[in-house]
Amino acid sequence: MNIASALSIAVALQPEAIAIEDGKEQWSYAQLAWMVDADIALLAEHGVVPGDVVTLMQVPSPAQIAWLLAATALGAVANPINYRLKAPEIAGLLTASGASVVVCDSRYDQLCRGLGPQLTVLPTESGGPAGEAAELTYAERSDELPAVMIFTSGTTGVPKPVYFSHVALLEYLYSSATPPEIGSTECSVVCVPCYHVAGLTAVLASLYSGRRIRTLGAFSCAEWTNAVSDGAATHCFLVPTMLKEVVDDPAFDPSRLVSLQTLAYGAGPMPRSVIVKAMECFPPSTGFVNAYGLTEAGGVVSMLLPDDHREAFAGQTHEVRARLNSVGRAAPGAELRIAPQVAGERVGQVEVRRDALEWIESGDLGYLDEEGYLFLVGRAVDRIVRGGENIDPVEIEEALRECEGIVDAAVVGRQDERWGEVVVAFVVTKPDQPTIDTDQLETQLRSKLSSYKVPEEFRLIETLPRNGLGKVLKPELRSKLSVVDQQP
Amino acid sequence: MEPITVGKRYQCELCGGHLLCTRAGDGPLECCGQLLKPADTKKLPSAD
Repeated sequence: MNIASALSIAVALQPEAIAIEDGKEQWSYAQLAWMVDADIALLAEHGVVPGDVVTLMQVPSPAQIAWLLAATALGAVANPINYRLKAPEIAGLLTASGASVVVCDSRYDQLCRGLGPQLTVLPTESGGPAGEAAELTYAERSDELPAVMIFTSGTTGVPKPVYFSHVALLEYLYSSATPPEIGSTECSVVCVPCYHVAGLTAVLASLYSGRRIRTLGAFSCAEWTNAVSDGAATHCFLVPTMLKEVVDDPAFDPSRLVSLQTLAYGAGPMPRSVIVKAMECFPPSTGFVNAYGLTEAGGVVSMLLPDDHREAFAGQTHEVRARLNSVGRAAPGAELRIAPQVAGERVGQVEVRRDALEWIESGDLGYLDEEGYLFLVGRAVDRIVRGGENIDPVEIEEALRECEGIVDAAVVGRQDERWGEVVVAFVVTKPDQPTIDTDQLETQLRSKLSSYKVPEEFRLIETLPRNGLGKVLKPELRSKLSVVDQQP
Repeated sequence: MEPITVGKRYQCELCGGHLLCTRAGDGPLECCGQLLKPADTKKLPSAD
């Protein structure tokens, strides 16, 4: 079974329904299938055969989705990559993936052509639409073979390739979506690019369930609100930085979001202040879902559901209220466990497994409460060990963001002769407060944190370095420390 | 007998094979010498 069958089912059930729109143009499911057919023909013409890797370097667009489906339909491996990367980084990824064909937007054309004569570069625009589609026939691929490959975000090192087989993606669709009912009016605003597992699954699940997909160019509160409002969108997935941008925008008008049934978020820690503000101002009909997923585990492994959000929001006890900071409980079919480094410790590496297959180390540190809610405290590699005490940055970062005048913060460890490592905080202040009062910050933090967790040093920074999905690039922050420290 | 419609899923109890119907037909559907039953749908809340 080919993952591109997700499209052929929706085409068979509702060919005239709108599959994708970008705010200007609309394409029906039948038209999308034509685009895919034309792209399949082009890829085949350029010698792509089953098993080849086809790299996609494109901003999110209807055409990109067609190319992605075409590559998988042909039996090749579609490999969407981050279009913000620089030439040496792209060259590294292409070497790792062995891709022979790159489909790219015109603005990346020159960059891609400079990567070597062996690489075939196809412009995004060269694909569909074409004339009437022949019967959609997709390459017969063994279920276990890869359909899509994406690189991990590389926040902790070199990006690693992760392969998704046809069967793994189909299983995800079976468990999270159903083919469309007649007259379905669901619409999903897809803001996350396909090179992230959340963007990929959002696109595939939307196609399989016959939803209209509204793509979004550059993200802003105004663009997003327009997309939801004009498209009467029912579903959306945002990363925390996007939701923060929305609720912090003075012009944000939540009354335009009444159609939104589900707002899912994930891919990074959600500051409590942001989700609380969102729950206060969004229409009551919007259900929030926090989805914790691992690229390596093929998607979502735990979820904090709309009712969990409401209960935690209105909770009477500290324990229940705290769950708003959790990533919820194991999703159906998934299991969670904590592997502590020291026996008896509550916090340890989070391990997950799906369908009773082997356990996967997440690289995240966390703990489970009595009811099985999972709390993440940071990446294992970001853990700071100060004088034998384990310190997890997320708690300190959250406390810093609640301090007066601070809008954002990230915490890393710095080598220290006496303690092994000490805590250093990088903080972003409000524009009208260009300095930090270290004493005042320390006093505020001491009321919330054990003294050993209070940073030894605070550094003012204009903005935190983040990757395209808003994850803080901690290696970059650590390198700032060592560079400065080496100065005489 | 229930018609075989597009988008329906079936699973064979003997070999575990999955079937996703991409083209409608009269059926019946058989695998390993017996009739196929519709697969259980365990729907997750949408996270997309």
